[in-house]
Amino acid sequence: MRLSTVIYHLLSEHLSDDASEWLNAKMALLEKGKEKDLFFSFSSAPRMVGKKTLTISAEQTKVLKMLGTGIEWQHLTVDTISRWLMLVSYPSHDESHYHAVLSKLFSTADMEEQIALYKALPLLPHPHKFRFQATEGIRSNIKGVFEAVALDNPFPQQQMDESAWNQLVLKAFFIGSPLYRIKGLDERANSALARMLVDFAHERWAAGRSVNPELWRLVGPFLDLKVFEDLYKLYHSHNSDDRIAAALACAQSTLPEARQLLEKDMKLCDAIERGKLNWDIFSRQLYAEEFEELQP
Amino acid sequence: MKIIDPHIHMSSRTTDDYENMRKAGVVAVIEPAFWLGQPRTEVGSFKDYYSSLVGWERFRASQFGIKHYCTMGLNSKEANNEPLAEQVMELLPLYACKEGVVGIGEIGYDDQTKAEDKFFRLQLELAKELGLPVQVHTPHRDKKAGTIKSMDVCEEHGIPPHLVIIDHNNEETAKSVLDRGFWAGFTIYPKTKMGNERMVEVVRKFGAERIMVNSSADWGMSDPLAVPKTAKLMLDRGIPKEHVELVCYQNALDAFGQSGQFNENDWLKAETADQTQKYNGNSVLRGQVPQNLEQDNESDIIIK
Repeated sequence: MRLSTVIYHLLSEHLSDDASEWLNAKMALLEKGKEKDLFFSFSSAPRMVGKKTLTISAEQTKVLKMLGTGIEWQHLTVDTISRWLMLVSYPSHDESHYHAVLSKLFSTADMEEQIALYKALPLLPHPHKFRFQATEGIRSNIKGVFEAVALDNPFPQQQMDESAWNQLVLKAFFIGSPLYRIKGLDERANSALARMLVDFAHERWAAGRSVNPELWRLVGPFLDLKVFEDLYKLYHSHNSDDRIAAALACAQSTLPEARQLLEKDMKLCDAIERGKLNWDIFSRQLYAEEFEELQP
Repeated sequence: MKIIDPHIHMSSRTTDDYENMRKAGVVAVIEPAFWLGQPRTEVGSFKDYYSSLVGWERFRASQFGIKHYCTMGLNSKEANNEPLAEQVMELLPLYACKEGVVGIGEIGYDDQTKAEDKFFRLQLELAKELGLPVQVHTPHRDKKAGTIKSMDVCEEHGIPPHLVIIDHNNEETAKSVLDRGFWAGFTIYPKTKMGNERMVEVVRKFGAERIMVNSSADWGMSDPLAVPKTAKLMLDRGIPKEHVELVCYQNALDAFGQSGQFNENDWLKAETADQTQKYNGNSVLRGQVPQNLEQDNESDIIIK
């Protein structure tokens, strides 16, 4: 089934009659490939279709999965999905024309539009043309824009080279974004990134600041004896999150010293080996707690 | 008291200003597109400026709990560079329909040249096509005649007065603007425009209907707290609270609310559209409570 057809059906049950009529009229125009029609309909989407969050049934989730986009379809709003529909429906057979038109949209986008555009990257035809644009999103000072590229988005894993990928991960630490929501985090872990992150941790400690324990997930597979000393200290700290993070990182390593340290606490070691505790579970817990603390 | 500053150029202000404005009760601001203190020489500079109004500046404001809106337009000074102005006119349709764009502005006359007149009219037609309010900048020089001409031209283009905010008024222009049914903006700007003691007397004389106060704070010597300070001075000098609320909040809301892009719920029930963002966004401001301006010393709140 075509992507645009699936998205259209997903949307249709959430639109009022007026909104539906507006969207249909715009879709008919867009097929003709005049860029002005795309600009007008793209920018007026929220005021015409509203901003409600889409609820997606189990059946729909199945269909969406079959599309293989790697996108997380939960928590998206009607205006965002409408904008995606416009982007994938606009004629794209001429690669450089399509890229030029979308570049205009990117370069004049407001905050919500930027977010919608960056989240749409994995859906766009000719994805390789948007590699540079994705790195621009990572350079953004606006957290929502950065996270639109970095979190829950398969595009960076699929399209970014190693240095761009490493900048993305590093910046996630600086911005305070939850690492576990970066797609392909373990698959694209690399020794250069591990080295940068260890340096970063030392800078933080030197300044008397704490280090996000998720960092050690990317260091564990590349552990050497020198970095092991850091983990050893972490394991013996009073902070239980740090201690668990050290244990999880040790479990990723083939270093005998790491194994020994892990087995010091058989209960913890056992939980890790039986899959009761892993990085994703740990991180979800970590951010859930933080979220609760922030509640009034 | 909740405050709206319906005319302030935040791009040229610091985060200290945002912080102080929030403390003083400012919940929302409107930033009219203007010049940058010196003329731009390339159309790309306009594009990036417009993008920052709907992008970075709006985000920056949100970090301090202030909702940022803007009006889009080609200002009168730069309308005089005709070849460039033509290119800017082609940009405007890309921005005019965006979220949080509450009108076309600030447009109008500066030297009252032919070129200014041409682009003022073209933009009035754009506003008419999109059903958006118009924020009109009135000239410093030959003000009275320029103000009257601005209103004449709006009427000539069939824009009803309830959709037009005539800005930078003074004691001399107020009556004709109000009599003809337009909204009247007053800019509290040290030395060149209005002082806030004069403003108190304007409200005493004309009442509060269709009058709104703003700061126009920018890169010049100006005061981003001009509206909250004026509100306090009005209260201290016996203007009824309902009137103060009208001129420092409600009238701006009603006038620009006609765009459909300026709703009280945006700040009363602040909620981001995307739940995944809400989860992680804006933690900086959690628990922050709006405070009132805590200055009792009258000499601190007077702007001469």
